[in-house]
Amino acid sequence: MKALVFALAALMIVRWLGMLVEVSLRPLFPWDAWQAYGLAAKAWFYHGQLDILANGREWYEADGPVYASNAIRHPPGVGLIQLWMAQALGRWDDALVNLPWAVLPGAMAFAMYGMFRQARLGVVPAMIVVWIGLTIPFYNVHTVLAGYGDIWVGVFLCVAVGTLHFLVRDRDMMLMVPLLAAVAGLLMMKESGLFWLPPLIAGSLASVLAWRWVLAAVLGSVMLVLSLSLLREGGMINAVLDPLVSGSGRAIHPLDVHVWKELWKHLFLQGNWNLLWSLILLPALLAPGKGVLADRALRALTIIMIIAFLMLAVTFGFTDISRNVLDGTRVNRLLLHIVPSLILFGGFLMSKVIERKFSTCEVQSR
Amino acid sequence: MSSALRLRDYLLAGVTSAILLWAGFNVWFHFGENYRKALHSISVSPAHWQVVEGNGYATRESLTVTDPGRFGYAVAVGQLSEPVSYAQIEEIRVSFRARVDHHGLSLGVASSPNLTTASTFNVGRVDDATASVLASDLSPDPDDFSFIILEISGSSLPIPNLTDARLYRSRPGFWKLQALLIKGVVDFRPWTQRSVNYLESPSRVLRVSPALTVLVWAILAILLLAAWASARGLRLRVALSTMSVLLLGWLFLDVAWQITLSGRHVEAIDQYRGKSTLEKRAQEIDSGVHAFVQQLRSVVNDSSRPFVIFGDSNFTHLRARYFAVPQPSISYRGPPRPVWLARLRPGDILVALNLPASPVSIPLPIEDNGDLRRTRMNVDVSEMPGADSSLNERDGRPLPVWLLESPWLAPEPGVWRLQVELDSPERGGWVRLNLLARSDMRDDPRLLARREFFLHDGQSTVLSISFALTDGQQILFRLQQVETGDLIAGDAWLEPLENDQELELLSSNGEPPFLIARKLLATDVGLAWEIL
Repeated sequence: MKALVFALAALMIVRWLGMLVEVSLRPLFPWDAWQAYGLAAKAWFYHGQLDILANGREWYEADGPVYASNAIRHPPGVGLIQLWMAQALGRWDDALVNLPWAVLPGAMAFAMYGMFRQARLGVVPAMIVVWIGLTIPFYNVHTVLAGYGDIWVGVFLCVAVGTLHFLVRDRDMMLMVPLLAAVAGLLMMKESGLFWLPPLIAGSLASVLAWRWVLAAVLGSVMLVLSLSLLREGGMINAVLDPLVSGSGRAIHPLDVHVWKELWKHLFLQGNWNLLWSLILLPALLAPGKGVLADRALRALTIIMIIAFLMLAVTFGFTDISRNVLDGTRVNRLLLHIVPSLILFGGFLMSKVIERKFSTCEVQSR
Repeated sequence: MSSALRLRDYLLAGVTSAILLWAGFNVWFHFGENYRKALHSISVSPAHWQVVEGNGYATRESLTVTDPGRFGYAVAVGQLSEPVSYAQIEEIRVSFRARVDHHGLSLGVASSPNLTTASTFNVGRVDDATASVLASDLSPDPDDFSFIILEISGSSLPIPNLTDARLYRSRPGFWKLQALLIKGVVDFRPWTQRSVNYLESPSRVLRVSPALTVLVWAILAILLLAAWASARGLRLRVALSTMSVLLLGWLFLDVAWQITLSGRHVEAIDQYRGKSTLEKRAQEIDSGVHAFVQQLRSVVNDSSRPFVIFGDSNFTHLRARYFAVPQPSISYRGPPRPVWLARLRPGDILVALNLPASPVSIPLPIEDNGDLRRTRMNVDVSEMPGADSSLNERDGRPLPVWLLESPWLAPEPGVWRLQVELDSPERGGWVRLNLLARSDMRDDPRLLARREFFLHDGQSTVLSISFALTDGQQILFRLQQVETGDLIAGDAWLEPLENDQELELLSSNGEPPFLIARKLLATDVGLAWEIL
């Protein structure tokens, strides 16, 4: 078993070192990274102030130096990380400003391993799950695509989900500090960080409320969102109904099987996720339902996962994002946000399964 | 023990079923004309046909020959989507909308559209509306062909529309069929990965084919499943075997991915090791844009001067904008529109990348350089029409009114700058300064230059516009509020500018309104001007 642990550690180190070398050498190159976040960070670095970004009209109206930037609609987190690096270096280096992206997988690996061990998962299964998490091709791609915010959203969400699990389990209020820090990080990185707040809130409620109240809260929220969407022109409901009623083709309705076929290709056929989506089904199938739901901490995470994936399904199939599923531009990036949390959840489930197996064995042996 | 046997039996049954299915398929394939059902025929859509002798037209549904050629003889050519090897094809078949038995038909193939290497043969009839030729009756040279030729002759009756043309593949031998089966299951062609900068960069070929990896994994997984078959406990066995197979698969796919990723790391090391940021940028696909922006920055030598960048693509203008920092900048795709040019301020740097047609620069229409004789010319605004007017509103929307309109002025020929003091004691907004010119008193005034400027609340500024005046020309200027505001115009004056050789007239399409600009840089990648 020791050999297996060392082999897995070696595989992870090889992967991580390669990415570290590439990130530290390759100048900033992914599209959004330089045209939005990187430009903002560079401008902040040279001018020493943050309020110098503008949209097209503001640019012509401004008195002092301003930069037309697409970053004005994004939260500043990604740019601030690059600014931090540039200030540490004392110059703008297109490659070295991205060093935190190379460090992030290592940080996530340690965080995951620590949380698995806290959840009483054995060393070998914990290492295997961390190895899986760290070697997902799409995760590696986004590490090397230094300058994007999606990987940060995924890590912050993962830390928030893990901390919530232990907060519910141990009732240690000090854990509120890392939880709130992770949520703040989540919201600082990309506007889509906001997307993950409803599942987090629902999961938190599930840990303290009775089932019927959780259900009522979820249904109430869904009704509220749908009502608001109905009131707003071009909202989600319109996006669904409009093509059905008027045939304008503005959005793709769920009967368009191409979206689901394309999603299937992204998840199971293409190399983006290795075998994650097949593998993740296993602990879910093996996990004894009642045992999981009786555990308040796991119940919270189960609710988070169910709501998160329902929201993703609605987003992919019922809104304009379905176009991005078809052209492949915004399907895996959204999944990347939830995947580290999903792996964490899988590890916790495994821990529960193993724990129950051993407690059953002990009872039998007595 | 019985459960262990059961799992092994399942495995055996699976393998036996696979063998039986394979054997059954082979027998069925070689029986009669079943191979035609199994192998996809190649269809040539009527839309890809063209009448080369005689007259006719093609639609998605059919090819219509309206008139035969000079000798009652029509020739149509259909293009295949890719070249096909003669040896792969057994028969070419064409279908018409109605019977064609009154016409003489020949079918053939050619490798080039000029039909110099064509080979045709008289058709055999499948039925009244379908004709075919066997590939063995043709002798194409060279072996691959890209076109089907249809020759029609011999009747004055209208020629029915061609609705379908199809190439049937020849029956493969046993080993060729096995090769086709394996290729059908495993795609051995190079696999590619889309680049993130896919608008500019090509896809990258993966070093290890995932198909090959999956094949090796599948073989090992069967062996692994067989090994787990003897473990105790059905549920545990299913869990362990499934998990071990998936983890094995993960490992295999991961190793393949690691090889691709390592290749990329090595490329990065080769390409960038020990190089400065500038040297790294010199190797990128947009090195020209980067070099241009750097050169321009050193020419301008003032990092506070704004760059207004226009590029032929999103990639070009956005990259230039990123490279331009710390210069304040804005950028657009495509040629500049007049409204953007009007908003340029004196001192702004206009950059056009890979845009040969626009903006258009014209040499100044002034030959002499007698600027030294000219002096500042004050314009009294107090008596001008509209000097005390304010902006009207109708239905809550501002009506553009003249804040100020000058009389016709006749300065000496040369390059001038008109300056107008503006003050917004309370509310600012956009103002527009139009400069009109006429050569003769009978001429209609013609817009010569335009500038738009935003005035902040409580701001005082001097709005200026430069223009070139030829002999005998007169000018008039109008100051106009575009948005509601509370603006007051102060003094106005004309200031002579030195006419150096670098000055040009600039506009979006070669027509007025013109800007006066000084060319700063011209390379293969782009042009840059300083706005006066």
